Amino acid sequence: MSSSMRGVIAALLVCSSAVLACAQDGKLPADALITPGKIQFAADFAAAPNQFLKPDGSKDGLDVDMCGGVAAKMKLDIDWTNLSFPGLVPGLQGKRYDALCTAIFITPQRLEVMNMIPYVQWGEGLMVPAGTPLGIACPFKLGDDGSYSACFDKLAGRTVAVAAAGTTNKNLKAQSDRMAAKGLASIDIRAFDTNSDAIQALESGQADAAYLNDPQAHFYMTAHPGKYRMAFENNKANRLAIATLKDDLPLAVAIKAALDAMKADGSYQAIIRKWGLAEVSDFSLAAAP
Amino acid sequence: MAWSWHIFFTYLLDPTFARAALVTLAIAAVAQAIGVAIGLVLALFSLSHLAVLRWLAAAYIWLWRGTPPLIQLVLLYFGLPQLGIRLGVLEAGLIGLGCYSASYIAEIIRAGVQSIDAGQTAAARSIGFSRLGTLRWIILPQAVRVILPPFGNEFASMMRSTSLLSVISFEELLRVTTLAINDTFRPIELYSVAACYYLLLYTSWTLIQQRLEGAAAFGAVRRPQSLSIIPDPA
Repeated sequence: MSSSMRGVIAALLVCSSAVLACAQDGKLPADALITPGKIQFAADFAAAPNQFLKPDGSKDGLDVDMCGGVAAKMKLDIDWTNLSFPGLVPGLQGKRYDALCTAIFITPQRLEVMNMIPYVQWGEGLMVPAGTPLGIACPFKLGDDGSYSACFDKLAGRTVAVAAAGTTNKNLKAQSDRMAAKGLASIDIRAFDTNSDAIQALESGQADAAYLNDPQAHFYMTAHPGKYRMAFENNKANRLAIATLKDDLPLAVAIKAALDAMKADGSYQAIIRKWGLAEVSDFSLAAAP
Repeated sequence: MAWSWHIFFTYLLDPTFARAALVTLAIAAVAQAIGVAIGLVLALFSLSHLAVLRWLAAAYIWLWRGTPPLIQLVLLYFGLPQLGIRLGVLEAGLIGLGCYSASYIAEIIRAGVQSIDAGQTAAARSIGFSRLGTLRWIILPQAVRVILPPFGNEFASMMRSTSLLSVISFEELLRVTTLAINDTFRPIELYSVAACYYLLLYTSWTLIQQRLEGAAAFGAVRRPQSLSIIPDPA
């Protein structure tokens, strides 16, 4: 567990008297969903491979498969809202949909307002044009976040594109501030609305590198072989979560039960393999203390 | 998630927001100046006797009015590098908003000039003013009265249009707000703070616009207010 997660207790929630609405048989209480019989998920569909729109307009991606599986296990119809990432949490707070099933990391701040059910994990990495020496030979060790400092130091004074509302932006800014405090030039961070825009900035030469979630970078590099490479990856490896509002605990418990059922019948592992990501050991609800 | 006055006031008084509002104002002012400069030339083209100039102006206005400014900004910032022209985010933003605004300013100026009675031009020409001199000394000073109100609306609109620059990674008021929401998950309070700043900018401009319109209504000569027995025009 990384230090940023200190103070966060990941605990399997047991139905208790404190959770009045939680029925013992795992059935959802009548008011758990905005529309009975239908679970409404929201995601930012500009985030391949997590979720994206195919040229014919149909939805595809890890989360479409995963939450489609969850809805099937819960015997519910499914409905998707496609929303730009910065609007996702406000929309959830405004009860526009039941849950988020998008590429959203677990952070202490987010746990303040949401129940988060971890279901997959990955890290962050730097995508650079194949021919540049930027970030080459930096001695990072997988899983040791501190070892990445030297990698970021090489970015002093360089322009790096990032998605504005994600943890990538926060982590990049923290590194840039650390470098400035050390007397190095800071990183010229260009924050865009989506990962697609950040990659576009790199494509058009408006940035020297893009700091992305590993799967998004790999997905793009697979589609455009030979153009880019990863200077480093798997920094700040963290878990992503399906999220409900704090008050919607029964729904979160039901989603976790559905994921457990998918793991038991192997459909969870099949989806993880299909999209080339890492499993999580269990789907314990990360609950703020 | 009950409304929190504490969060609202904390961010309302946060220098980051105040700075972002000033940046927004500065961007709007510079972009508007570019818009007026290009718009004036376009208006003269529209009023020209040369068909090719009129056609050029019409084509420009058709292009910039007929496409959303968001697409214009994205094409300027992401698209032009493919032609070997790499604009910085500030340059792309100012040029984009300026050129977009120019297409509206051109029409405002053209309509203002055409609203002045043709006899004014005939009279000025007959006493020896050149075509340009007629425009500079006779027509424009009168047209300004017609031009100012829609111009004021245009600048008010420009102050809100600056929020589009967040799309090409420029940190103006809306992007600063989005990032703060990303930290706090208090969208209602923080968007309200942003709304207050936009209202502050808009109100300041409205007051300035009223003064300008008042000045234009009196002409260039200001009479001492205390001696005036004529009430101000409403």
